[in-house]
Amino acid sequence: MLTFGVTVFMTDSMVAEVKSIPLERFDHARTLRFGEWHVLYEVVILGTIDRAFEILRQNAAMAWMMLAMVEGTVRSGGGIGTLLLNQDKHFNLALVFAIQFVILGVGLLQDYGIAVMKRVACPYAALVTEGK
Amino acid sequence: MANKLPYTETYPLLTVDNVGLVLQGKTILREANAQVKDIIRAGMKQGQVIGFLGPSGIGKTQFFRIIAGLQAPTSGKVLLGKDQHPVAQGMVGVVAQRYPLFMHRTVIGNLIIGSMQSKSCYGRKEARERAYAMLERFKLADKADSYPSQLSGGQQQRIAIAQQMLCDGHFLLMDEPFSGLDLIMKAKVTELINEIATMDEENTIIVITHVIEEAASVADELWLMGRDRDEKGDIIPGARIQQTYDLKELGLAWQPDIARTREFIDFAAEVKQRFMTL
Repeated sequence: MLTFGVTVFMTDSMVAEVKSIPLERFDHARTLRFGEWHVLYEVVILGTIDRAFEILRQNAAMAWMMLAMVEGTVRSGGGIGTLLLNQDKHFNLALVFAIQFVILGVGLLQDYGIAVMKRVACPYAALVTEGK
Repeated sequence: MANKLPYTETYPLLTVDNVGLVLQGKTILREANAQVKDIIRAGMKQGQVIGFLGPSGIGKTQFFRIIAGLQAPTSGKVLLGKDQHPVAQGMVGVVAQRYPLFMHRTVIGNLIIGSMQSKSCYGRKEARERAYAMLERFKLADKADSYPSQLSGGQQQRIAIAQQMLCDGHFLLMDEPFSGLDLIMKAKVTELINEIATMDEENTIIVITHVIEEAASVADELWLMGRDRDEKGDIIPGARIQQTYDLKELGLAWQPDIARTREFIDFAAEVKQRFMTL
């Protein structure tokens, strides 16, 4: 369920990202004698990789939140969602809050990790224009 | 008559032969014809600069894409070079209005990839040397390791031009190169266009602009694109090059201060008047 949900969101976002590439970027590559595969690699893959990291970041955040929800729905599989609901059922509020803080902490760490990966892989994405 | 500088014209370098374009049942261009011939001036390398004028939405961009080989015409053909071979993608450089560059590559990376794509098939080492030489020539050597987003609009424009010139070199289409620039930058772009034009005998630059004075101050020939009207005065679908002005013949080309002369001001007024009827 989780894989399905994330795949749908991620694919949709990436398709929208690729569709938003202006025609002039493809034309630019073609005027430099690029073949169609080279255009795909340079304009679509390398040209959108920084945005792909951003989409991954958003989707990973959603997926992490959905994980707890899905595990709570399908309890036989166990996991942090099941643990949370079990503790809630027994009214162990201290543990419920502790688990929620763990979910929040891991979520923030995951978000930070992906942001660092993006900064390392795509240093140009964080740059601002000097002369404008 | 203004001071006409001596020159001769020889073989054609670019021929637009009866080009027509129909997109989704709509006629965009019809019977567009134009030719650029090699200009010879004694003691110097003189390229060709064409100013291309036309009202917004008339089909200038489509015409540009056809000349660059990015769009196949419905009819007619575009021929290039001394041997007049049909145009194909990559034979004509295009510097679009927003100067597209590979934003994920550094300035030198952009130039190396342009150089490696040249038809001379340079290896990485040669391509790097050519790229650095071009950066020196464009006075941007200190920006080699910057990313395009760290450059000003004018610097990005120069890099975009350098990249296209490293890839092939002789034919360059520039879409609105003066758009949004201040007076100093406009003067620099004019200087840059003149510099490129005099780098090689065969260099041919076509500049799209809406401003007649800008086009006329940089070009040696003007093309006006417009739509014809029938007897009733209704517009006939499909634009074509309705008029050309030979600035060389009029004595208005290759003179730095020509824009201040009476002849130039009168000429610009005449073109403006013609422009209003397109």
